[in-house]
Amino acid sequence: MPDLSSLWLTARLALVTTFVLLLIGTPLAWWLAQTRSRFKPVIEALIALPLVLPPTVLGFYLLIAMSPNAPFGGFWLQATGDTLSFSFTGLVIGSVIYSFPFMIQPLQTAFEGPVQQAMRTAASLRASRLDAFFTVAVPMSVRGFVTAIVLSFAHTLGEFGVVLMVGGNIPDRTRVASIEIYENVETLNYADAHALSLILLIISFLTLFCVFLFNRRFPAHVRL
Amino acid sequence: MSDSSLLISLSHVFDGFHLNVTETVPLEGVTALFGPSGSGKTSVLNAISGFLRPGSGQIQFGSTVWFSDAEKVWVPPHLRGVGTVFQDTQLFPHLTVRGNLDYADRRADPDKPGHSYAQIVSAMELEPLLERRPQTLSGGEKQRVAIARTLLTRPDLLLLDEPLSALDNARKGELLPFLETLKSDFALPTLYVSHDVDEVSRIADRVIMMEDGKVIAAGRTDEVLSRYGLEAGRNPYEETSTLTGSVDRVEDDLLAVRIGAATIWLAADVHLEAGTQIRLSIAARDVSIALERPSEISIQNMIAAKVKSIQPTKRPAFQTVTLEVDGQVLQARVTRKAVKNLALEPGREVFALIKSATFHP
Repeated sequence: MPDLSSLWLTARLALVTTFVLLLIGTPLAWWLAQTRSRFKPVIEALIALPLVLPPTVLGFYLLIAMSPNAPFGGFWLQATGDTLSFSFTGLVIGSVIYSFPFMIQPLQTAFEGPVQQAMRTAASLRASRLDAFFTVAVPMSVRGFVTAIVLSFAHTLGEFGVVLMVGGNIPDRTRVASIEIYENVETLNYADAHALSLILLIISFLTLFCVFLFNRRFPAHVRL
Repeated sequence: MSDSSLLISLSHVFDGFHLNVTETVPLEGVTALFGPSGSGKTSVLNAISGFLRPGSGQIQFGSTVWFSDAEKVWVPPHLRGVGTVFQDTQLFPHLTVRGNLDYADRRADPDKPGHSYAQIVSAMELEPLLERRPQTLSGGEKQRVAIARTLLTRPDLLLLDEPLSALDNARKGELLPFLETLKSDFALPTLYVSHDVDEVSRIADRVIMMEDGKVIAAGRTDEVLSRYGLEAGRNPYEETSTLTGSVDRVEDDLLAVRIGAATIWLAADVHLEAGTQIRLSIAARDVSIALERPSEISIQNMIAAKVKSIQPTKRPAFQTVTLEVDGQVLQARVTRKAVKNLALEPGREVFALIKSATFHP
């Protein structure tokens, strides 16, 4: 029987990462959907970078930034009394950056065009921008939110390279399922590797299946 | 500045287009902003509703300044008390008809005088539609919901942006009485954007005529329209071709008109002698194009024609195809996609299908 603590850690990491991404990603995606700023392409390229960058490259830079000798890592150590590298918080920061495009891109697409027009309509009906955002933009973008949340969650579940670089392999702290599988294979413990891999495969499939089922049942707009 | 007028004074440049409008609109009755598409009517409307911030100028409603670049005043759209009915209705797709109406009702100022929910629903005859989704409504029904939704905000000023332009002629006829109800029963100061003489002469008390971003005439509807020789049924902003032919015979209450080798059939409500020369007005939008002579089709007027040229229109999706019929010119308004799919090009032999024509003896 494989050690299930790594699975629990993975689930926690994916949940916290998705939640943080939702908080940061929603306003950023909103800004991108309506801005005419000339910096937009630069920001968009930066956000998409984790799609093409090898995770080890990203992890390497993060490891350096989080080191207690670096300004960011040092500041963190002073402020919290804990190092960022090889910690759960470090993993969350790494995962947030790694899964950024998976949150931003579906949201940005959902917020463009018809939703922006609907915001104007809501204003003509006396709704303030904040009011209109929650009563018009969010309900009209439910599909975008579901896709963004599920993709960010599933993508974080499968993360390996960044975690290995930033978090290493500390049981209960940074040893997530993908790393445990790697470790099992290295130590020729194929039975546990099989079991964990199958569990991850099933969870990933079910998560994505739910999205497609959702999109089929609610083809355009969800009744709230 | 009197308390009962809307002062518009604005100048704005975008994409090389100059908008320069100074006009005082009395806050009573219906004032039409009238002109061809691209003349700046909708931009003026957007500046009033607050969706366009002009480069400079001032917009003042009664004694309230909504925009002034000199005084650095800018009132955001949702605080202006302007109700806009958009051309494409913009009903919220995630809400039912009732949900759309409630959205406006909940945000209206309850202390402001206005008509009740029940009065508005009944005036626009919406009771049977309340539980429907906007996607399931016809164009005319959507417009009625959009008008009711705007009325529920208890606006001080109503803006109607070509509310009939997305409807076909039959639907227009159905909605016009509702617009007249709107005017008589709700009596809100209204700005009505239109490029249609019929609508304007039927609904508006005053007309502001625009062209190329400037006001070229303003005043009482009948005065302005007659000064420009505009009368109901004649639309200056619609591409129309005139074909000359001669009456051949009358058969089954239809008039056969010969144009070269072709014959066009028209409903004959006047008696004309064979051989009389008449002029036919044919709107470009009533002309379709086929590569071969179609059979089994309700349109009876098909004439052989040759493509002379293809020009863009102001709406990117459409093109105007100029056809040659018996040495005369006939224009067809078709989509760019159709031009591509039929591989239309100058010199091509086609059939023009004419849905309707009016004639002047």
